[in-house]
Amino acid sequence: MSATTEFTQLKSQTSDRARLVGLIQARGAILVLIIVALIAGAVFPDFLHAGNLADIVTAGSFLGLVAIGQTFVIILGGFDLSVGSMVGLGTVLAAYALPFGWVAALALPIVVGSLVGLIDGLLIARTRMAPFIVTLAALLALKGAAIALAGESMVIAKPGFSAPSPMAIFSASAISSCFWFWLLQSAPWC
Amino acid sequence: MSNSIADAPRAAEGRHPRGSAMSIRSSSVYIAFAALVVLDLIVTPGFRNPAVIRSLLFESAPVLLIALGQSLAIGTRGIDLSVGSVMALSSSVIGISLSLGQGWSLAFGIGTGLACGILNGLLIAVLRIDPLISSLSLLVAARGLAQALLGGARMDLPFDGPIPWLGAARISVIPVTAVIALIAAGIFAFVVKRTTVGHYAIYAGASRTAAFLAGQPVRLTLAFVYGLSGLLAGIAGLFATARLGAADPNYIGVQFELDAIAAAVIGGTPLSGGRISVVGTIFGVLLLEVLDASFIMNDISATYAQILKAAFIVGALYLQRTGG
Repeated sequence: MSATTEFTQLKSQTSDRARLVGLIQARGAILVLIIVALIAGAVFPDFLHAGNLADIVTAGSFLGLVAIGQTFVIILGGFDLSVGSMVGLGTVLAAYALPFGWVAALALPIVVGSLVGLIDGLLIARTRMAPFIVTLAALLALKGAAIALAGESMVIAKPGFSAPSPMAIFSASAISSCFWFWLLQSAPWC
Repeated sequence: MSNSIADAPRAAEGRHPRGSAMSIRSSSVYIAFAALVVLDLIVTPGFRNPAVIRSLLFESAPVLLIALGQSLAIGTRGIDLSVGSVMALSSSVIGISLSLGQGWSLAFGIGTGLACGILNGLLIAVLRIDPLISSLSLLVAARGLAQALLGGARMDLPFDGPIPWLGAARISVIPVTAVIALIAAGIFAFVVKRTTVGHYAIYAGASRTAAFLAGQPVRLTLAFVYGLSGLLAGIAGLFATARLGAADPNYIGVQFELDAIAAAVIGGTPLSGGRISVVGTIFGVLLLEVLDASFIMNDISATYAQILKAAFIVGALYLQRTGG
């Protein structure tokens, strides 16, 4: 009887410990983020002001969108090196499409990015080449294409044009919520 | 390969009929290299000049060194993304320690590479961080430290002494650095194919679990592999610095890790681990260097050259894909 109780206690202790370790491993990045933010707030007095935080979140929303895509690729055990170059090509395409309206500027990079991703995916799935190499080749090719398209200089889309900064935050939040729901909350559709 | 222990997975491959398609796949890098050289001899103006060989080999020597370390890391089913930045850090250390004498600064440069490699190996073996992540953080950190050490500026080397000598010395048209890199490749091949630690590394790549259950010191082996990769990157940094005639933390080794990975994989070291081809890696490096030289010598703009290079890498890999 007592032996059983002891065993149960031991078991619950170890599982508590395992749960704690698991929690730290899963949520540790949030802890680090909070610590870094508090230290930065203590060292730089302006760090925790709303304007600065908004700037940081705006800058982070671009990276966040790229990271969502990368998450799906890594879940499959793959890797996509080409995303940075695709962002570069996307900016060039958007700048060229902007004179034709903001819908074109929005659609062109998305369509081209999807096509490039599809080609990468087909090469990986059909020919069984390593994702690392296929996307490494895409990294080189997209970077070359972006620089060539831009005529080895900068493309100024429209003098004075810039999207309001909350737009980046809102769209990144909306898109990541959709993917969160799709990945973790929806039953598989297959 | 007569040494069956080093290539355990090849025995399984023997069941397949060794048709002509099979031999094309396993030797695609040599065919591609030969085809490219023949094409260049016919098409590219000035390719017959012996100075081209000299220049190509000077460029190839550091890339070959890091590609060797890379191929072993890939053989253990890992990867070492830090090599390019470690070259830059080694270059910076050579620069700041010049006042102690070139012998010391040469040793410190190589030692820096070794220290980075050991740090990377300990992160992977002791803290069990994924090689991709640990070497990625080292890529960022080593480049930053290299720039900080020299204040972001380049530092010219003196005109004479052992380091500038390395940057120009040659036997007829063969650079001394290329000879050293080739000797290093020979020693490397011996370690990988004929010694216990080399076998351990390849086994760890073929099946980490089986290697562990067989009682092999898997983590120690991994620390050794990444330490070796760092050491080779340190020497590569020295060679690149000597050739450039300056310690330059912004220029040396940028994206070299990608060339090294591409060379190793094109040479027949699959990213799935458990196999390594040293001769293939040598020719993979030569192939990429000749490719770069062909673009430059035919006056193809660097932007289109990148696209063509990408197509070439995919093509070479497509030829040797492991079907079914």
